[in-house]
Amino acid sequence: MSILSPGTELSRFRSGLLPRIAIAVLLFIPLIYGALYLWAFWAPTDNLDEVAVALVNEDEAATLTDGTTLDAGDEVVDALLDSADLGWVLTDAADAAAGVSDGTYYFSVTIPADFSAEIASAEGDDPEAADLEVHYNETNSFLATTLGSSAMLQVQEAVSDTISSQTALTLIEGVEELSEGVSDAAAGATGLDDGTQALANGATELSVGLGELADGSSTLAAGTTSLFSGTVVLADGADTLADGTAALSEGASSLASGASDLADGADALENGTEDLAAGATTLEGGADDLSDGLAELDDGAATLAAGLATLDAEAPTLAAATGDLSDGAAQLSTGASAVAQLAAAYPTMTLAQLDATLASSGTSLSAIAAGASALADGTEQLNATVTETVDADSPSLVDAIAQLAAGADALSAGLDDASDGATALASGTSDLAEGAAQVDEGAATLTSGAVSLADGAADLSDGATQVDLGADELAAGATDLSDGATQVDDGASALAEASTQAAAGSSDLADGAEEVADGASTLAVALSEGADEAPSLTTAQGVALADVVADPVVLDEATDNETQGFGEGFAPFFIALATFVGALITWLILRPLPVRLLATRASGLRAVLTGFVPAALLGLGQTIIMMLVLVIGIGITPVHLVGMTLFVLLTTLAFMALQQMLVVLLGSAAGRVVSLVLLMLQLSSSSGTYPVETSPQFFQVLHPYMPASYVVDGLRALIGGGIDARFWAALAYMVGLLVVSIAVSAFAASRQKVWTIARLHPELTI
Amino acid sequence: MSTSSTLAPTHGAPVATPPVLDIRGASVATRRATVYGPLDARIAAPVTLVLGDRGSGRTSLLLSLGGRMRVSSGTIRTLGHDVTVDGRRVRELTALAGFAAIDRLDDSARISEVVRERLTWLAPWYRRVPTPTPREVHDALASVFGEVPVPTSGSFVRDLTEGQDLLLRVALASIEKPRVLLVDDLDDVKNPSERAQVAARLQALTEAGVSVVVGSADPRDADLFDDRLLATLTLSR
Repeated sequence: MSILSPGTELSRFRSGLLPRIAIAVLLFIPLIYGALYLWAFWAPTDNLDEVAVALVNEDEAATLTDGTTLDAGDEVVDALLDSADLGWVLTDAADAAAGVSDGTYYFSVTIPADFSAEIASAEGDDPEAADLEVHYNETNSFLATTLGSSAMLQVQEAVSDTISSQTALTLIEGVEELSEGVSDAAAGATGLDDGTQALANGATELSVGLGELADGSSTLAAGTTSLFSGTVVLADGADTLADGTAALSEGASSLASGASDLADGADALENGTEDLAAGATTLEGGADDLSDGLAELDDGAATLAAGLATLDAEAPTLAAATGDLSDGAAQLSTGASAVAQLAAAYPTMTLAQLDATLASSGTSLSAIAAGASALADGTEQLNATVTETVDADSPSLVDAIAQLAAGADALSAGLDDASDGATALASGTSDLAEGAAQVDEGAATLTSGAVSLADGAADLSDGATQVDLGADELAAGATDLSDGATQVDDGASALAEASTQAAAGSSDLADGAEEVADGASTLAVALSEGADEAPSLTTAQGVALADVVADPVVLDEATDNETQGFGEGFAPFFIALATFVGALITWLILRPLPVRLLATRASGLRAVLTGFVPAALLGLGQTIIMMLVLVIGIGITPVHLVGMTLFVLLTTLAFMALQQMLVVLLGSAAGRVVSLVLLMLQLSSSSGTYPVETSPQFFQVLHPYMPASYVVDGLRALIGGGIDARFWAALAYMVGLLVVSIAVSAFAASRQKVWTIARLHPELTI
Repeated sequence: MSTSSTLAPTHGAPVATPPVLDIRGASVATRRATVYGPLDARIAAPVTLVLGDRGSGRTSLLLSLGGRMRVSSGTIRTLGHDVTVDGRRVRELTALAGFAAIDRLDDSARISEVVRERLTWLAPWYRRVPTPTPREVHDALASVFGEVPVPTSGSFVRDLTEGQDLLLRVALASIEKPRVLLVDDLDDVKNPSERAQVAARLQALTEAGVSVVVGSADPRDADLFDDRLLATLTLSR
């Protein structure tokens, strides 16, 4: 098939040694990359015994409660050294700390002073898991920490196996003692069982007795029912009786009231009658007086009439005298009055003046005196007339007047007697009327009392009838009550019988209970003994003990210069890879050595630098870009960011110088192939992933010479922290690599000012 | 494989000063083959034309003459200095131009840049060399180019004719002020008139006391030089 002809492409490798080597290398490159890496990291965990780990035993032997001595630390050390899982190096604390810090040991395991004491604490009240202190330093290797952690888990398991037996033994002894207690308890339980059986029998008997008691109770209940119904009947009867009695009472009350009224009426009648008698007597006396009075009145009236007739005859003479007297008096009055007026008006007036004045007014004092004398004459005349008259008519008029007075006296006395009689008559009539009214009232009351009495008697009769009926019902109820009581009696006797049986059952039961109590007591004693002997734990102690038995040994891990995880742990390795590959690609594009310059007088160093500087500028760019992405994009957080950036730059420059040197020394083709192989060799021996001790011997031999080893060391210190001698060594190595590479290149370049045929006509060009 | 040498007639003064080239039984060989030689020649002419086909070892001989390739046997003295024993001195006295594998210029470079590069290499390491002005470029190149148009400083190498390209490389080599100028591949200038121009310019350089050794595959190139100044060394495979 002509289409598959290789043409002349492969024939150009036929001549010369290098082309043949090149073809061979081409064939083996994948193998180098595949197999070399696989070989290096074929089974890192199988070679953990090559990983140096410091083992410090500070444990002090503890004394157990049974007097034996526990030296757990030594046992653990022996077990670890025998197992040889890791490259244990038994040393002291100071050496371990220094070794972990400077990388002599990948990490350290310390058995603390109280290790045995904590193991022994499993049999005490306060069990504690024993600590194994593990101290990592990720500057040594991230994966060493990872591998170490998994290895330490196995160690923990192994140590736990050793230690568990001690802890478990303590526990088992307690369980054994517990077992004895339990068998005692079993004996107690047997006794308890017997007691329980007896108790059951007693209970059966009790049950029978209670059954009979129930029957008796039921009879009693029936009796009680009858009693109840009888009582109801009785109540009815009593009600009726009560009604009757009430009616009777009412009737009696009416009767009483009627009788009382009757008595009142009789009293009033008696009083009235007495009054009537008194009135009648008074009436008789009054009537006598009245009669006397009327006779005297008749005499007095006759005398009066005679006296009046005489008086009438003498009356005109008297009248004339009287008239004269009146005129004299009037004149005197007028004159006196005028004098009085003048005297009042003129207090200083003399009698003459007065007389003058009076004269002016038509009168005078002599007129007045004349009036007064006239008056006295008139009076005297009258008096004489009257005396004359009386004397003249004597004895008739005096007699008439005396008779008249006597008649008036008689009339007055008669009238007094008549008045007294009338009064007595009136009083007697009133008393009589009152007594009549009282008689009438008493008769009415008597009538009404008689009516009430009749009613009360009727009511009394009704009540008596009802009382009779109620008494009948009461009798019936009493009969029922009697029946009920009989039944109650029956029931009570049945109950008594049943109670007797129950008492018997209870006694049996008591016996059974006693047996049970004995059994229980035995059980309790046995269990308590067992409990005393068994380990006594609080909940917390129990949990702690469980933890201790489950994990008698715990790891107390501490990590120096911890990285963020896989990413930061692997970062040094991959940065070494990246910078080397970056340099490799750079030199594929750029010419490592300007040939034109070799033909001039310029020095070899100048030729090398002329080739190196453009690559270094690109390397600076590569470094900045990579660091930006690592820090911002990926999120790596180195402890020393600037230091890391500068170190990465240094690494880049050193790798470029190294590869330039290889090309200058070996030519472009061979130099690059060697670079590729070197890349693989240094990565697989760099200890950047698994500790190199876990790799085959070949890589362990290469490790100290390979640049990547130092790149990884330096970057670990800068990323995770923990700058120590290893970092300065790495820095010195990388600077040295840069300087030496350039120096070697310069020397080689100066030698290359003289061409060889091979350089002039290379058998193989890239 | 045979080697013949033709000694050109010496002219002028007797040999008071050492001849430009004194080749005695010189050869270069690899394990598999002889590249050139053994060769004997003694040349004092200012212009030496080395004629030889591809594979004749012409370039290797020129390098050997400049102390830049070790001879396998015999001796070569250039200006009296043994190229093996005193190679460093020989390299200081000689300069190369026109060697395809050595001083080829990058097509994308500007004239000013290649001039500056050469000036930089020759300056002390601590001195900064600025980009030369067009005037400086012209001055640096004019003496070599002569009547040939000097390329402007901003033009690119790829824009040059084959003759200008070779003359530029000669001019760059001349900046080092060599006593012997080794120019290979004159026949790379294919245009005959341009090649004649270049040959004339090379011959003109000898007026300043510079000896020129020119390599070519074309025997007719001997006609381009003044016979009085020319010595021819013919290599055969």
